[in-house]
Amino acid sequence: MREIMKIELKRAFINTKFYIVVFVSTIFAIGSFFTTPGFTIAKNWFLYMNGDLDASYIIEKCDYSDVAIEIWMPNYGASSKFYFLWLIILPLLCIIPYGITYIEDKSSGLINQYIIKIGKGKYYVSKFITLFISGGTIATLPLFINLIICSMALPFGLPVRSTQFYPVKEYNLFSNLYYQNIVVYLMLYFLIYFVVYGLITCLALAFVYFEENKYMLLLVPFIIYFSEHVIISFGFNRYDTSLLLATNIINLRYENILFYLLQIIVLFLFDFLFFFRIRRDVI
Amino acid sequence: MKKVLKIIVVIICFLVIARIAYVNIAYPAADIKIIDEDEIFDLKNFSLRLKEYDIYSKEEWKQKLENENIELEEEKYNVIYNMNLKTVLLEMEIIGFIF
Amino acid sequence: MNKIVRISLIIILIVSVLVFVFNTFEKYFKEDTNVNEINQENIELNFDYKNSIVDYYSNPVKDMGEKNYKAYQEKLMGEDVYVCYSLESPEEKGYSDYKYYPVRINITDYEIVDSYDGKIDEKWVDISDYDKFMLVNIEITNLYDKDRLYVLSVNEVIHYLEGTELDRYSLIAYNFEDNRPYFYRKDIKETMKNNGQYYYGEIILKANETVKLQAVMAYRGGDYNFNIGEWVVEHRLFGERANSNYKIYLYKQE
Repeated sequence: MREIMKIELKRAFINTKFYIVVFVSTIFAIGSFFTTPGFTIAKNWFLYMNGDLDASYIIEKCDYSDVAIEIWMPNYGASSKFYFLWLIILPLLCIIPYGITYIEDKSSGLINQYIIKIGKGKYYVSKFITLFISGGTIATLPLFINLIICSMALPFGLPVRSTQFYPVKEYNLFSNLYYQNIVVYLMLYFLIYFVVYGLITCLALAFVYFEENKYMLLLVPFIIYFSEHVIISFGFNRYDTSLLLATNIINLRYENILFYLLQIIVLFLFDFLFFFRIRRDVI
Repeated sequence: MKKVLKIIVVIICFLVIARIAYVNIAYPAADIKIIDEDEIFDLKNFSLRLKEYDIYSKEEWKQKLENENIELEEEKYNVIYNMNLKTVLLEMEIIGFIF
Repeated sequence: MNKIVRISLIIILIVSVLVFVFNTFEKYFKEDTNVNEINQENIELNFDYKNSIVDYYSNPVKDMGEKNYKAYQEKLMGEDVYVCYSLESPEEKGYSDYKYYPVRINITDYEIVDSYDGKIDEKWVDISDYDKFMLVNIEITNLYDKDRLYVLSVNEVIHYLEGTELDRYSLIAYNFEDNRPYFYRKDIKETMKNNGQYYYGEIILKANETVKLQAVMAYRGGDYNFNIGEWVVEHRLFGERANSNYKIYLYKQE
C-alpha cells in the first residue's frame, strides 16, 4: 500500500499540470492582496516605517497596530474579485492535476497491471486518498501563500474584537477561538478547507461510472458545486450557507452549522459511491 | 536547470523569512501586552505609568453593575446596535429615536 | 444512461450560470427607482432582519428585496423617522463594499466653546467629563439628480477637517438647520484613535439638495486623560480581553 501511495502521490504532485495550477493559484493569491483595501493599509504602514509624512499623520493618530490577519484574503469575501473568482473555479483547479488519471488508466490498460499486482481494493483506496490529498492541497495553497504575503506586510498578532475590523462576530463559528488563539483557528480553517475541497474533488471519482469523457469529468465537481451554491443561495435564499461560501468559516454562523454539516455528509456519502460500484465495474 | 530553480527557491524562501522576521520585529508591536502596576510604558511622545486599576472578571463586573443599578444602554434608551439585532422588524417598535 | 447524465449536467450548468449572472448583475438589468415613488398598498413587512438593515455597508435594496425595503421606509416615514442607506456609488474607489454615493461635504467653519446648552443625542455621554465643545458647521450636497438616502458619519467630518486636534472628542448631537428629523444608531466601533464613538445621522437628501447642520462634539482640550468608561474596553496596550469591562484611569508620568 505504501508503494502504491508513493507512486500515486508522485504522479499527482510532480507533473506539469500541478505546477501550472500552483502558478495560477499564486496569481490569485497575489492578486487578492493587491486589489483589496488591505493593500492600502499595508502600503500606509510601509510608508510610515520609511518616514513618509502623510502616512505618519494617519498612523500616529491610531493607537493600534494593524495585523496580518486583518488583511488576509478571506476577510474581504465577495468584495474581493480575485478571491471570489478563485472560489468559484476552485474545483476546476483542484481536479486538473490528478482527477482524470483513473479514466486514463482505464483506457490505457494500466489499471489491469495495478490490479493484478496490488488488488482492486488497495488501488481504489489509493486513488481516492491521493485525489483527496491533491484537491485539498490545491485548495489551501493560495490561502497559505496569501497569508505569507500578508505576514510580510504587517506583523502577526492577535485580532482585537472591539476595533470591529474583523468579520468574525459573536454569532460566527469559533469566534472566541479567533480572538484568543488565532493560530489554532487558522489550523482549523485550513483543515476544513482541505477536507471539504478534497471531498468535492473526489466527486469526479464517484461519477466515473456515469461519465466516460475526460473533459466532462473535469467539469463534474465544478457543476455540482456551483449549481449547489446557486440553488441554495438564490433558490432557497439561504445565502452564506452553501459550500462555496460557508467553507470560509468566517462567514459561517452557529445557526447554519447543521445545514452545512448536512451538505458535507451528503458529499461524503456521494464520494463513497465510488467504492460501492467497484464490484460491478467491468475492466 | 533544476539546480538553478532550487537555488532560486531557496533564495526566495530566505528572503520571505527575513522579511517576515523584520516586520515582526521592527513594526510597532501587534501583541496584546499585559502590563503591571507601576510599569512604565513608552509611547512615541510621552510615557505612561499605570497608577491604579481594578480588574474584574466578567461575573464580578456584572454584579457590580447590578449593585450600582447601571443598565445596559440598549435597554435603558431603547437603542438598537449591530450585535444585538435578532428580532424581525415587525416586532421592533424601537427603531432608534423618534424626533 | 451516460448521455442522460451528461445532458442533465450541461443543462444544470447553463441554468446555474444564468441564474448566478442575473442575480449578481441584477442592477444592470433593472432600472433604479425613485425613493419618492412608494406604493402604499399591499406592503409585506415580514422579512429577516439579520443581514440587512443595520449593517452599514450592505445594500439594503438587494438584501431585503425592493418591495420590503420600500415598505420599511414607508413604515418608518409614517412615524416621522427616516432611515437611510447609502446606495452604491460608482465613484468610490478602493473600498468596494463600502457603498457611498457622491455627496459634497463642505465644512464651513468650526469653533471651540466653553459651554453648550443645546440638545444632546447621545445621552450616555457625561458632558461634565469634557471641558470644551467643538461646534462644526457642515453643508452636505447631494450630487445625484435623484433622491437619495444618506448616512452622515462623523469620520467624514474629520477627514475633511484639517489642522485641528481631533484626538479627544465625543460626538453628542446633530443640529439640522431645517430641524428635519433623523434616525441615528450608535456605531460601536470604539477605537482609541478618537477615544469616543462614531455616530450616524441618517437623512434623506433630495436630488441636488443641500442640507446644513451643525455637529456638536464634546471635546477634551486639556491634559491627556483616558477615560474609557464602562463599555467594552479592549485595547492593545493593556492586555484586556473582549467582552470584559474595565475602568482604567491613566496619568501622564510625573
